[in-house]
Amino acid sequence: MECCQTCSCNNKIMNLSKNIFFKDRFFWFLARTGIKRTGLSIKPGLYRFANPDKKSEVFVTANYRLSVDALKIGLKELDAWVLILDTKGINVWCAAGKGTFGTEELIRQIYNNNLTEFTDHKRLILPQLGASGVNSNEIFKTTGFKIYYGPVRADDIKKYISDNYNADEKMRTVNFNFSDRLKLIPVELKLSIKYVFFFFVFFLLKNYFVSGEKNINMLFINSMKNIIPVFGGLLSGTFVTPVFLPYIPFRAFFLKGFFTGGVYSAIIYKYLDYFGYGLILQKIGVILWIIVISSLSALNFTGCSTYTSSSGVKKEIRIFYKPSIFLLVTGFLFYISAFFNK
Amino acid sequence: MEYLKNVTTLELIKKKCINCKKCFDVCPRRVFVINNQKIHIADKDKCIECGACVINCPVGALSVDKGVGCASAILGDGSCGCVDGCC
Repeated sequence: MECCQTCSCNNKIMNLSKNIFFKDRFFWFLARTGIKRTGLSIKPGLYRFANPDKKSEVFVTANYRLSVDALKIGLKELDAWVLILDTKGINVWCAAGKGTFGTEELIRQIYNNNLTEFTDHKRLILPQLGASGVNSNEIFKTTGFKIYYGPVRADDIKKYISDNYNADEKMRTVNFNFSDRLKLIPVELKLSIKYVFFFFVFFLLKNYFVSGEKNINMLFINSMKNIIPVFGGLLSGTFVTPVFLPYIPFRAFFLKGFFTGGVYSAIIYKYLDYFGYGLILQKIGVILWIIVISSLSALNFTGCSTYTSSSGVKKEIRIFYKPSIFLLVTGFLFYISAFFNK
Repeated sequence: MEYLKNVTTLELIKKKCINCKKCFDVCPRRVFVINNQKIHIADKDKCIECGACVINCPVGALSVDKGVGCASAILGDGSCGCVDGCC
């Protein structure tokens, strides 16, 4: 019997468990920390949620574990059909952007699962954030099903239905509040930590070959010391900037990161001697690194944000990307030249 | 929170619009308002170019350069570089 972990097969229609188990919460943790980013998919197809009949609503979602779990929590005591599209394990919004949560896939799943056999109405409730991938007019023309765009958050589903399929302004609006931002930070940090590793290797080589540190313990200790201000620059962009996002001046994310990186540099400046940046050229070098790393990682947070446009991000890249690489290289030149100037 | 000013490519052709309000329903940023039963763009700078209004408009009255506002996707191969469970 070919089946995924959260369902029990009954011919073609699978049952979606009503409960959220410890195992599910554990998967959320793995996904949010970035420890596990693959294999979080659920088998696509038509599912029963509790005891649906021909009058029950049909909800459509992506086959990403967290999307399905959010829907399950939102459905609460409802009896419903859940049609899970094959979005390659990607959440509704991102999949709609790519088109995998899309018109073609929805039509395919409607026919493959003989949806008309299970309902005597022609209503499909889609999450509002799936709208950018789905042409509701084409679905209606091809299958006869009428698309109802539900609320942004599954928690509002009950209210949406009791209000006669109406979502109010609040239910239709995407937030990006403190907790939304906080949730996204761990993955961002994990993805960008590799750049710090690159600096660490650079410091190891510098401390071994240039400073002549042959004691392996001291080599690591000194390199760790060197890396701390740089790592702080990364935190400034991936942690401080997202946390205080609405309060940091400038609209451009790059400039927000530039600002936080600048503030952080001002704070850490007088401690730079302790971290192994005794010479003025070294100090200039490390501050350039800090500011560039902070700016670029803040710019990278546009991918997590819910209010940036493609044209806007392209504009930021056009203006800031090349100068920032130039400053990064300049930082290296300053830092290295310090050793010739002793 | 609002992003950069005067960059989004959203356009509404009022002549074509039949005021079905689909765009009003699907917009996650509340860019549209209804005034006297007619659709207007209230705040263009809020638009994130997700394309939800354009694909769901039955008469082709809306246009936008659809894309993701994600730097790593734009710096990458042009399509979103996300893997399983991204965003």
